Order: sequence, then C-alpha cells, then structure tokens
Amino acid sequence: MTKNEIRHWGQRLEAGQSKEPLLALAGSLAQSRVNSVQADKEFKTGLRARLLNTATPKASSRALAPIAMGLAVIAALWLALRVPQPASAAELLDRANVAYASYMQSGGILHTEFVLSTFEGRPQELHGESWLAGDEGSSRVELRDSRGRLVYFAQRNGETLWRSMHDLPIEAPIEALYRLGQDEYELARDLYQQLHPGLEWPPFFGDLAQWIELDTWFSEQAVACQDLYCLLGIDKDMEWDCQDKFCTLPLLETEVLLTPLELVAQFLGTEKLANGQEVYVVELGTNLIEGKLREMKFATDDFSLVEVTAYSTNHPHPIARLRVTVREQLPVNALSFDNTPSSLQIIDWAGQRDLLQVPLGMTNGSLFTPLHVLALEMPGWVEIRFHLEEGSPPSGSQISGSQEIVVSVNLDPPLPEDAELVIQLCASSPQLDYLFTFTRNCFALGGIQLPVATNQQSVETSFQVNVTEEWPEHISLMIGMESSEFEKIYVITDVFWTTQP
Amino acid sequence: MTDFDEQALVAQAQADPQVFGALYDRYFDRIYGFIRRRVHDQKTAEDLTAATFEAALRKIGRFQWRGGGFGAWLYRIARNKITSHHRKARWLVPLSALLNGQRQAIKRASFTDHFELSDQLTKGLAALRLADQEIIALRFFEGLSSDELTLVLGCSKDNVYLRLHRALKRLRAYLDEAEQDLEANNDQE
Repeated sequence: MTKNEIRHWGQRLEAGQSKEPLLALAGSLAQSRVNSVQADKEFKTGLRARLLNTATPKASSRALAPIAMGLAVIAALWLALRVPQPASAAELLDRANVAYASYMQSGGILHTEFVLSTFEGRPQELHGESWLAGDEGSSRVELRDSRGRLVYFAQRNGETLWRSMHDLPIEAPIEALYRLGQDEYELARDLYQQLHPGLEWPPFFGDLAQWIELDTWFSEQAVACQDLYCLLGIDKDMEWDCQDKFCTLPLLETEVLLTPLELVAQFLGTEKLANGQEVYVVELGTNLIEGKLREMKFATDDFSLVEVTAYSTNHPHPIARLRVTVREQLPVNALSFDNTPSSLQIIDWAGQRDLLQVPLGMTNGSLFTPLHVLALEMPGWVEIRFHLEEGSPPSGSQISGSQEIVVSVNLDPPLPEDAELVIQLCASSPQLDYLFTFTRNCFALGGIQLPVATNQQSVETSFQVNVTEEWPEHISLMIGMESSEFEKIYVITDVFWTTQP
Repeated sequence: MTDFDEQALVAQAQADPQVFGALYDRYFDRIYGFIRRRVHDQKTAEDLTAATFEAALRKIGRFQWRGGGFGAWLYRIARNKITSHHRKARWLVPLSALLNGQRQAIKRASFTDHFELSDQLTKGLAALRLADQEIIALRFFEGLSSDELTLVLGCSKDNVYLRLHRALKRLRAYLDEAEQDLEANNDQE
C-alpha cells in the first residue's frame, strides 16, 4: 500500500466504515466487551498514599526480585565487557565476547570472581570481580589487569548505572562516566527502529550494530539454557523446538518476519574440571558461515555457568575464555555501594604510560550514550577517514586545516516536541589536550545541546578548535537526540563534517 | 474531563506532586487493567502498576503535552514495564526453577484472556504475531485512539494505520481459512 492509500484507509477506519472486510472486522473487534479487572482496593489506596508521601519514590520490584538480581550482574558484566569502545583495551574486551549466567536468590551479597583470558594479538588476562547486593538494586563490576590495576569499573545504584568510558584512545584519561537509566535496552530497540525504518524488530543479523548486542547476548543465554532441556530430554511447553539433540530458536522473538539468525547449541557431554567439579559442556554456534562459537560449561549440580570459551569459526584457537567462581552469602556490609569512587585508575594497554588518576564528577547527571559513536580518525594532516562503526559512512565528509569546524546534521522529522540535539566532540593526541570552544551553550566537556523543532530538517553548529601544534590524532564525534520522556537517542541520518576555509 | 482540563491538571502536578493524586485516580483502573490483562498474576500486575506510576511521578516534571495526552504517556510507560518484565522472565528463569516444574512462570499471558470473544476470533488472535495482537488489543479492546497509539507505540500515525491494516489482514486471512476448513469438514460429513 502506498502512504496515501494507508492514510485513506485510516480515515475510513476512524469514520467507522464497515463496507470493506477489514473495516468490518475492525468494527466487530471494537464491539468486543472487556471483562472488568478490579485491583485490590488496599493496593490501590496504599500505592496512592505511598506515591504522594514519598519525596523520591523508588521503583517497586517485589515480583521481579530474583530475576532482577540475576539481571543486574548480567547487565553489569555485559556493560563491562561488551560496550563498544574504539580503544585497544576496549577491543580486547569486546573480542572476549563472554557470556555469564548465574542466579542468586538469597540475601546478602553475591560475589563473583572471574578470569578473562584473551588470546588474539597480545595475550591478556583480566581478573574481574562483581558484587550484587541483596537489595537487588546495587551491583558493581571491576576489571583489573595482571598487575592489579583497575581498567574497568561499573556500578549500579538503584536505577543509576555508572561505568567508565573509553571513547578516547585508552592512553588518554577517562573523562566521564556514563549514567544510564534502566531503559537502555529499550533505547537500543527504538534507535534501531529509527535507523532502520521499515525493518522488523528484531533485526537481521547483518544489521546488528554494537548497541543491540545485548539482545544477541540474551538470546544466546536463552538458547544455551533451552538446549540443555532438549539434551536432557526434558519436556517443555514453551516457544522453542527440540530437533534431535538441538534446540533451535530464532533470534529473540519467534514472531520475527525476517529470516532470523538461528543459534544452535550442541551438547558435547559431561566433563570433570581440574578441581573435581562436574560440568555439562555445550557448544553454541550460529548458522552463519563466519561466526563465533562458544563452548559453555555449566555446573551439573546447579547449572550455573562455570566457564565460557569463545572461538571463531575460522580460527582454531580460543579467542577468549572466562572462568567464573561464585561465592554466595558475603556479609551485607561487605561492600558499600553508596558512592562511586572519587577517581578511576586507567592504564595504557601497551604498558608505556604510567597509571593515571582520573577525577570524576564532572558529568553528574549528564545523559550520554556511547551507543552511537562516530569516530574520526586523522592519520595525517589532510587525509581524513570518516569511520562510522557498524554502519554506512555518511554521505559527505571533509576537513581542512582550519580551526573552525562546522558540524551539519541532517535530521529526520518529525522529531519529538521537546527534542534536543546533542553533540559531543572529543579530540586527543599523546602530547596535547584540545580545547573546544562552542559557539553556543556549552554542555559537559566539549559538547552542546540544541533544541530543535519537530519539523526541523537540519542543524548546523560550529566549534572553535584551539590547536596549538598539530591536529589531534583522534577525534570522536558523538551525536544523539534526547527527549524528555525516556531519554532516548533518536535518528541521525547524515553527518557532514566540514571546516570553514 | 476535557483535554484542556487534564492539561491544566498535569501542569499543576508538575509544580505540586500532591496534585498527581488526581491523575492517579483518573488513570489507575485503566492502567492496572491494561497491565493485569497482559501478565499472569495479580502480584506482578501490582508491581508493574506501581512501577508505572512511580516512573510517571518521577518524570512528570519533564512531561510535555502532546496529541496522545497524559493517558497515552502512562500507557507507554506501562507497556515498557510489561515488555521488560516479559523479556526478563523469558530469558532469566533459572534452570533449576524450570527443572523443578516451574515452567509456567514464564508463560506469557494471552492478549485475549480477558475479552469476550468468539472461539474463532480468540484462536485467530492467538495465532497472530505478538506485535499484531498487541496493536489490535490496544486499539480495539483498550480503546486507545490512533493519536494515543502513536505515542504508546512510538511510531507515526501512518505507521499505526499500516500496522493495524497488516494485523487485521492477517487475522482476516486466518478467519477465512478457518471458515473454509469448517465448510470442508461439514461437506465431508
């Protein structure tokens, strides 16, 4: 149907016409009676009183408690290990591509220690720890290198998630922590739909960008678990099918229209680890020709995940391995989750720079997402390579030696009424710091927020860059759109990067 | 209450959270009903309802009036809470719980559980994709307008009509097929 045809059909629907079969069906549906559902009166009045008497209401999650606890650790780990970061350390972490599944339903603090080994390029071993408080809302993840230096940090307090960010090269100091709400998953979904109008959610695998890898990750978890039921001969009445010894499940939702990525797990048998622990060994793969395989080991007694090793289909050796040790029932006060640290210690992965102490707190309350990062790499004075991660390059980009940088953003209206365009620009080199002077209101570090009209087609703004000696080695440009309701990031269609002559 | 009255009420609530009570009274039953029809048990419905209104109260200062109004905004929050709940429940049920026979814990409530529909229509709706079920339920059973749906579903009005059209078309196809099967069976008898 064309857009006009759809509009006319909508008008006939609104007018209550019933001459066409579909409109007649719509009419009969609209006459269906809804059975009344009454809430418990005590709940209704109690909630009202609580809402109005609470200055800073907290989210209720009684029924979600057990899964929320698992989710907190998983989300924290995922964020620690899967967030797109163009730095070498980040790439290392990203390649690790780990999965984690451990569930905890008792009180106290769940303390998990894990060792993450990577084998590509420089072999690295990271030691991680996570803590999950019994009150469900607090968790913390730390990753340290073999010398004990903190290289990654994430902490969730209630609805707030803090994590270190690395959108600059790792040898530059971390300048901010991102603060994300609970809806980061939804954000990814909406962003995807805005960026790929007309495509069904979930996306086809080829469209997967880094910011939706959480979905993939969750589905893999589910398939791995479900496959165990098939392998163990456990009957199920859920939404997947056991085929022979395998469980097949389309990516994410079964109702997807597109031919989805299928994840297939194969039961390899049981095995005894060096410490005597017996585990199920499951290999998890995809139907892609070039993909990744994971060998997952689950404890036979409680099905918790003990070890994950990642392989590439064209790479016989392990890419990364994660070993997990879970210790339950630490004292409640074993770790305070009340405060984020006053500084982060960031190190250079090449080991050539001293440890840096990075003060935090400059971006409290700022809401930025790393999910949409446009990184400019500038290997020379004039040659520019515009690199858009996991997507198509913008339709035009050029830069010259001028110090006045103009960023033009083509928008895709209609936009939310309260939308604000958010632009953040970062630059660095090993020797220099760069100061960006914004011609309009300054936001955070080298950033700007501009209100835009719902029908606005484009925004142009300029940045004065004070370059003392040479152009920075790395410039990253982050552009997003915020609206008041859910703090979501909206579409950016084209970014033209030019400088004024 | 007209849109104008409600808009004024929302503006007051943004300045004085105590006024939020009036909005709560106005929308509680609709939102609770909407959630209750989408989840299996009362306790979960209560939790998600509480989470919805807590989020609304927390964010009302940033709410801006749009075509769909305050109600659609609440529906959207509730929908997000429900989606999130189902997703978590689906992915994160412990193996041990499932092995102990608690599988029903993650079964999704049918959109049609609480509506008086013919058997054929119930089966037809159940056969649809969840996204189709959802838009039909929101439009025809919950009674949301197309403007409200644009806000709740986060898409354009054209897109709402397109999705509705597709969903109804698929439902119609199912019903036609079922009718043909029935006639064929009758002929055989």
